[in-house]
Amino acid sequence: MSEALSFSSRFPGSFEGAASASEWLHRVSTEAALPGKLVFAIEVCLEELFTNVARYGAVGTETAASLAVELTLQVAPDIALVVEDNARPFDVSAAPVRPIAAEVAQVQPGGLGMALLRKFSQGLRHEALPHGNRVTVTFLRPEAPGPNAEVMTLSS
Amino acid sequence: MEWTVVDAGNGVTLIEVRGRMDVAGALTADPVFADVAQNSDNLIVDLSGLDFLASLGIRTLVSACKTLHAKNGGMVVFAPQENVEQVLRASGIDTIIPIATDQAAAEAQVKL
Repeated sequence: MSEALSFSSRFPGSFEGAASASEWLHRVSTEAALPGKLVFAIEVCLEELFTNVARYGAVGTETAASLAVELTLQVAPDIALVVEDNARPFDVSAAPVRPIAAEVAQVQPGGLGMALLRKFSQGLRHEALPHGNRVTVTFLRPEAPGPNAEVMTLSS
Repeated sequence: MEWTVVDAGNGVTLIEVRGRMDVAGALTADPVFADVAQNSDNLIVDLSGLDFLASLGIRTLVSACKTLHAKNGGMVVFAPQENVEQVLRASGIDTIIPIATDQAAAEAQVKL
């Protein structure tokens, strides 16, 4: 697959919008025949980025009702998810991965998503926009078995 | 997302979850987990039927764990699918919510 192929859509920057975005991701991933393991990784990253906008994006600048997220899923030649919002500036690529506290009482229920972003993506790039942020998350395409792939036969 | 809450006996409540704990799933499961955590001594969660878990679902699990821990209770999850287990371990919550292989191991571990 070498020709550029991508899908885009725009959603309200809310939890309802995040749920709709998840449905959209599944629809276009099926259309593009992406492998399930890759779709899982993309959705983990999408949920973290989108819910960050819904939860924190409106503080101090926008009202929650005006928040919007535009998603682009590029499936060829490379795999990338581009999340563009009109939320307050936040460089997610510079956010530290917070280690979980050793004591349960000290653990915060939120804030663990940065570790998921790092684990399930290949790369993360933030660009500040005049009225928001653009985050590009890249993913490795799982290798399909080649014609010379070794075939293992198990016998008892 | 679907779930079943079962009294497993000996002060242990079992929640079997099925489907996807995505944004929509986590928002509907959150009050269920909160209620069970508030009204149970120990909680084990069967994740074998769970196909998806991410940051909102992690938040739901951690909140329940904290509620139980504050009452000296415990929480163990068991039998997650490979992708879901990766999420649990990558987020680090396996250090506060142990992952058991099956229900018997979870029941034994949650009462330690």
